[in-house]
Amino acid sequence: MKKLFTGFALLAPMAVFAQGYQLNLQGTRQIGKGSTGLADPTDATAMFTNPGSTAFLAANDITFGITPAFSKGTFTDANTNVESHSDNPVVTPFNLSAAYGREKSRFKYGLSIYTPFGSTMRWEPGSAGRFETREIALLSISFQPTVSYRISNKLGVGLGLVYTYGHVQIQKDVPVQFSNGDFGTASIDCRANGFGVNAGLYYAVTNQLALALTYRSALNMKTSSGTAEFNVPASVSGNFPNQDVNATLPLPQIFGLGMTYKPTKNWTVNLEGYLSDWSKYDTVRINYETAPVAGSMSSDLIREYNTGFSVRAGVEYLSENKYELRAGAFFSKSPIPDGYVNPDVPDANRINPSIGASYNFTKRFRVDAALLAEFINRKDENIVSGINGTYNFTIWLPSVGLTYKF
Amino acid sequence: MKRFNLFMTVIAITALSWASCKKDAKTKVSAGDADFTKYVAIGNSLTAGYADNALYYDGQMVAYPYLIAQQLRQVGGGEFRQPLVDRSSVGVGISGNARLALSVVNGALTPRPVAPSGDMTIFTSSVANQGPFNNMGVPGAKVTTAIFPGYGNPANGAGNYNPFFTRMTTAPATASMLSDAAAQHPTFFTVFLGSNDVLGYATSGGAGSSITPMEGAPGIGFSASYDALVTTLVAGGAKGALANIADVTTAPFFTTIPYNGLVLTAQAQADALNNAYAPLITAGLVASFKIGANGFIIADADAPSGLRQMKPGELVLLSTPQDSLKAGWGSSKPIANQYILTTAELSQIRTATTNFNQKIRSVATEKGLAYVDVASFLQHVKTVGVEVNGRKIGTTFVTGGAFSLDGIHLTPIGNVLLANEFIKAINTKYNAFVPLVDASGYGGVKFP
Repeated sequence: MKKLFTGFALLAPMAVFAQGYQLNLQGTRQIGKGSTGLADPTDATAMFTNPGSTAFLAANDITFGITPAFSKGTFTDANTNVESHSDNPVVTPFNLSAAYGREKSRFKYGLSIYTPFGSTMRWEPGSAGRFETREIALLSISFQPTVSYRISNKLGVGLGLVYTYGHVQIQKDVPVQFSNGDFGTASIDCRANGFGVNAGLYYAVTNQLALALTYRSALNMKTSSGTAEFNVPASVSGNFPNQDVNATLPLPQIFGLGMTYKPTKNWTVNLEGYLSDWSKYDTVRINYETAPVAGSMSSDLIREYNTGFSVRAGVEYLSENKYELRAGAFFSKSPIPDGYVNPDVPDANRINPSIGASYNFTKRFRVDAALLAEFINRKDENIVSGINGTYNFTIWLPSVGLTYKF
Repeated sequence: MKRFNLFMTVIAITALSWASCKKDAKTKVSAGDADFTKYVAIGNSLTAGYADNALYYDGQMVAYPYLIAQQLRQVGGGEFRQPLVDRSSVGVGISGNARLALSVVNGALTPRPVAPSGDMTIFTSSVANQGPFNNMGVPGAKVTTAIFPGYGNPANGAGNYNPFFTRMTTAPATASMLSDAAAQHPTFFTVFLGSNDVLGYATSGGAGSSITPMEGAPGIGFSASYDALVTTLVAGGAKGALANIADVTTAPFFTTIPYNGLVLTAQAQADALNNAYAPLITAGLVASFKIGANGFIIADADAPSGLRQMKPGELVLLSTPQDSLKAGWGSSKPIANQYILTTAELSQIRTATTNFNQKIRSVATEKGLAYVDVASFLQHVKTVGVEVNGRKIGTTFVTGGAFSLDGIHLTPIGNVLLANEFIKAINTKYNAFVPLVDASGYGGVKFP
């Protein structure tokens, strides 16, 4: 497992900004139906979507999914009409989940490894926001051992303990110029980790209707190691000492409420809503541990996020044959209030459509595919930095998953 | 069929979201009611791109009218010629000096000329054949001298002609800045003059040239000269923008050295000074010296025995020799009058500035021209600072970013901010949308 983790960690920095940094890419099937599935357990990825539903899985399975993100965008300055481009590296959020329970057992146990938050933004050199962010890469990976218990034929509960490791790298230009006209640069590199829980309830009201309630706790990501490095002219290097830094990144608690309705044997309709409480995400303070930088012992990223929510709908068609089709969409209300949009995570309210399909090669082996599109369009004038303009981003997220039942 | 409808719905949602994302975020540019075909800028050293105490190539290439002209190209503006000096030249300043650059002297960052003397060939080799020049900024020009024929005539004798103008005019003996500007038949012009009408007085601590009087014939009085200038420029129907002048205290040249910069660290020093100035202390002209900050001792002809202590609000000029301060100026010896602006001198400067700005504003109103309130803008930069896409620009010497190493002229980013103030005023007055200058590539003071 260790080796697998290191291999994937290299693949894992992500380029998606669903609801701030939050990814919703923990299952190819879910992606295909508007990222729904709270009350609709399909495979071991249910441990992430709703640990309470996992005990209702008909089989044991191991499932792996990968969702490369192709993201590209433009910032158009409202004052100058100048465009800055962001051409982000292709990155690959993934999930790997295995759930097991003995036949007839009311318990299922499992482990889910996934990438809950992430984003990579790489702006072209000289872009308008260069003194805020030239590049930010946030990588996170969570390990979630999970227990799910079927209390009755109708009711299930589940609890996962989540350990999350994160790595943030920020690069920006410093407004101090060398003799040759180049600007100085700063890089901040932090590794952090935190513990949380992922809990869920699943209730099958009838054969056709199921309800679900989930809770993912807030994660206080505390740095385990962090460094700040500056490249500035020699004569002012005393004002920019390289040193260790620390910070706490308060990631949100998330509530989910879902409903699944099966009007016929073939059709499934999911409706659900999420609340992400980003209210603790106000000012991210990077503390310098030894000496002031440009006269200050900290660097504050002022964010003032609010609560975001997401309303999702998905439908699925399971054929008598071996194929499955699905489609959906979700609307996300951005947690970033007006006046606080930054070039690091230019989030917006948006509608994300998706489609998906699966093919069951055998009773045990299934291949899933999905395509999610995200379109971001937001005009904002940041009240802190004064950056004023329109962010336009297009992100294509094709997803492939493999599931083996045993 | 159900399935087909479903997928059509998803495709429709996708197409709609995609379309909303793809629409062009740019604002449509427009010249509005103005015609920017031929833009001519009249002004002084700030207009010429003088910076770091010299006229040199890099400064000229970020001069605010040059930056404005680059933006005007998007709305029909044409070529903008400047009397460029050689790219490799160390430049030349009013006193024949080279441009300043920061260097580390005895462990401290200090502005130093990059060469022992300025590039005097700038004055001796005319570039007039490369003209006519859209940038009619001439270092040292005043409202009164801008309309003076023969302003570049060496036959007038040293001090009575301007060699910066001589090098750029085809008719040094007869041309004025105004006549060379008007001969180009500008469709659009900017005038940013008046600073030298007070600044010459201010930068010499009130000891040098006098403030231009409001009244008097063209060439003598500010009012009539300004009228003559603008009337000529609008004669052919041209539109334009008039900029007012800033309060002297917005420039770090006047504010970097505090009035109470005499810092004593030992009681013995205080005792010695108290002893030396005992009679003045008794007379109430000097406060008792103490450890910490004390007002400098300055020369003042109006004070009994010719010296007194500085008062809050009075200014020490950046030109005050630092080695002299170390050698006892301001404590055991008074700082000479030419390095000090006293309350009385400042009051004259402020009155003149207020009058000049009232005149400029009334001309702008009367002729229907845009009015660029540089004074308010620089006051804002000084007191609050401006956030330029995540970097704060202020007026503090060296670190503030807006002012170059001479403490009076602007850095590249300072010029960008000024150019944008012009453009904003132009856009408002003429219902235009000329995009502002993108500041992201422009910096302040460069560090070794």
